[in-house]
Amino acid sequence: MSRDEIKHIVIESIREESTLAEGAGVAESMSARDVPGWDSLAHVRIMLGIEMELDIEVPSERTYRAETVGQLIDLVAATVNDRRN
Amino acid sequence: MNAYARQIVGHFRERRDQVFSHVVVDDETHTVRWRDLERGCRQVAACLAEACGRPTPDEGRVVLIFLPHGTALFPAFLGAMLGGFVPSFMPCPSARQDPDLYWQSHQALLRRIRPAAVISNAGMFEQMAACGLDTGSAVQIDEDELFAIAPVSPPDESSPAPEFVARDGRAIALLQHSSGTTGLKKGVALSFDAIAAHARSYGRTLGVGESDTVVSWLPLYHDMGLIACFVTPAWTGTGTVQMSAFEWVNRPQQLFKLIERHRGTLCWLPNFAFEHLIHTVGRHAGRFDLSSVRAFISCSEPCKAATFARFRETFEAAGLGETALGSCYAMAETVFGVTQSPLGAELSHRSFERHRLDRGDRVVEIDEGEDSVELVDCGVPLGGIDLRIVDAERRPLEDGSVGEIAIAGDFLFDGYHEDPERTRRSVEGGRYHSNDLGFLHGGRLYVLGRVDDLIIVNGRNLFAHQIEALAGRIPGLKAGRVVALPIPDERTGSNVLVIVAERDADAMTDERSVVRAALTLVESEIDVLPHAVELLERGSLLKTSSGKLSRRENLRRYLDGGFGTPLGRAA
Repeated sequence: MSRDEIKHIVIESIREESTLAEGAGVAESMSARDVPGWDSLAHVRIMLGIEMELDIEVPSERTYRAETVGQLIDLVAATVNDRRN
Repeated sequence: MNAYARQIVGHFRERRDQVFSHVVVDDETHTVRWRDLERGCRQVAACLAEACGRPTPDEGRVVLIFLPHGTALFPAFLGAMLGGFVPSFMPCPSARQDPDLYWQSHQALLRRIRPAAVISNAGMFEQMAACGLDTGSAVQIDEDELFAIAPVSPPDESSPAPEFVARDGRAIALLQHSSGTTGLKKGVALSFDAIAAHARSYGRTLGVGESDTVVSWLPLYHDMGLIACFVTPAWTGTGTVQMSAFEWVNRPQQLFKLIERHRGTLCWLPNFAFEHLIHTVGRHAGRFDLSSVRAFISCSEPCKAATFARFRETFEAAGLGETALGSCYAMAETVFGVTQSPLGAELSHRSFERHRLDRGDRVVEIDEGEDSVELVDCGVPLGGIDLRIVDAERRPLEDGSVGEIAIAGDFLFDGYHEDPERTRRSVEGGRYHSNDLGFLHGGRLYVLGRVDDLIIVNGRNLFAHQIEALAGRIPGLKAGRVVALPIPDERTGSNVLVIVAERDADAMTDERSVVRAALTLVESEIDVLPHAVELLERGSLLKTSSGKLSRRENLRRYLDGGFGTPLGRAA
């Protein structure tokens, strides 16, 4: 699975669980603070959505270290690749 | 050797290759077999004996254990217990807590307990030293040293392990520090006889057998985690699966994955955990298989009928059985279980006439309607429990009357450690007075809330937690960051109700609308008009060191005018 495909899944999950206005962009440089509605409960649901979609498990310690959307995408991509190997 | 210790040692011999627990740390599962546990216990007992001197059977020196979730917890605790010490789990500081404040808040507790040893890890010992924590004459034992000593082989298989110290059944087995601000935490002292009697009774009530598996995220410093998910399954030989509380909060789906993977049958949860699962995992319910579960047992908070109904409906798609929900009423002072709903039956709830309940009159069961309130019962008393409802003078009341729940029985605690005054206040004539309000109806116990939770407004009994849960539903108010306060009113000689809440910064509603909506909702649902609803900035309300909102401290701040001008107010 390509990074772009994973990026699409991650951003869709963020859109689904946050209160981002329709059509508003999600840049990789953004952090949770920059996305309206991305509080701790939304974060749980965002990660859950990603895990369900990709059939992976990401321990929460690691997700909390990802400070930006881009870092989160990289973390998810690495997890997908680890599982494949 | 007492019955509890004999049972554990018997399991060491007879279940050597069986799984004691699967302990999940991050994404790794560590399998602990009974033979691993025995080895670990013997090493811990030997380590403590070398560090503190081998105890005599009567001494009962305390060992405090500050360790994070992991495989070391179980041998550290049982090893200390079998080695003749009195272990007690303590919570570790979370990443969000200031370590200096955290450790300083334990100073009074340490001075009172005067432990023989403190078991922890290098990181926490550094924090303790940095803030100048005085651990008195307690030996500090690093987790890495615990398992350094190889066990000595006993002369023959039937001889007890030389590291273990045989203690009488009446001796104190463990201390369980119940909730409260840290310095005022009560150390509930439980004897070996009590934990064995409770394990027998609760195990029989639940029909726990070899085919059961307990799955838990509950911290072991809390009685539900310690007793229901560790001490009792250790007695019954029931396997457990343990995940960390931190992981559960952030990845609640892991609880369900573990239940699936290990065919979990029993899982204890506080009411808020059911809500957390509904609001997170709920939309993916069909992806999980919960058909192995005999019961999710709600405990530690008043059980809410609406929560159960939503949980059942949400997770029907996951194969959750109709009879797979249970409720119990429990406390550290009775080891754990006081009442339990019958497993294998649908959870029962009844509707009662609201105004009679509010006034504290004898309850009347009615059909569900405008004037009714639906309550879930907490089941029937366990074998060996003698439960009574009493009035303010501690006189017994008839069935249907609301009063304080008072308990006698075969597994009552041995008092609060080093706190005879508190013990004397709460235990009278061999009966423990719980400070919980409830009533008996049809042989079943209904728990309404803590006496401390009660707000009396013009003769009406209101429970703060109900009002707070209600107000928390309003968009714009941060759920869980709401306090209902009784403010003395000189004019009436009673109290008025004031609700103080933090705003939910992410909600797109103006403050005026939010407070008006809260006022209207509380009035319409509870039929009392709050004197005021005030909205504050996030982070304004005061918490205890365990992270819960402190009604007492917030009441004091409110009366002192310490919150300043609210963002919004409706009256």
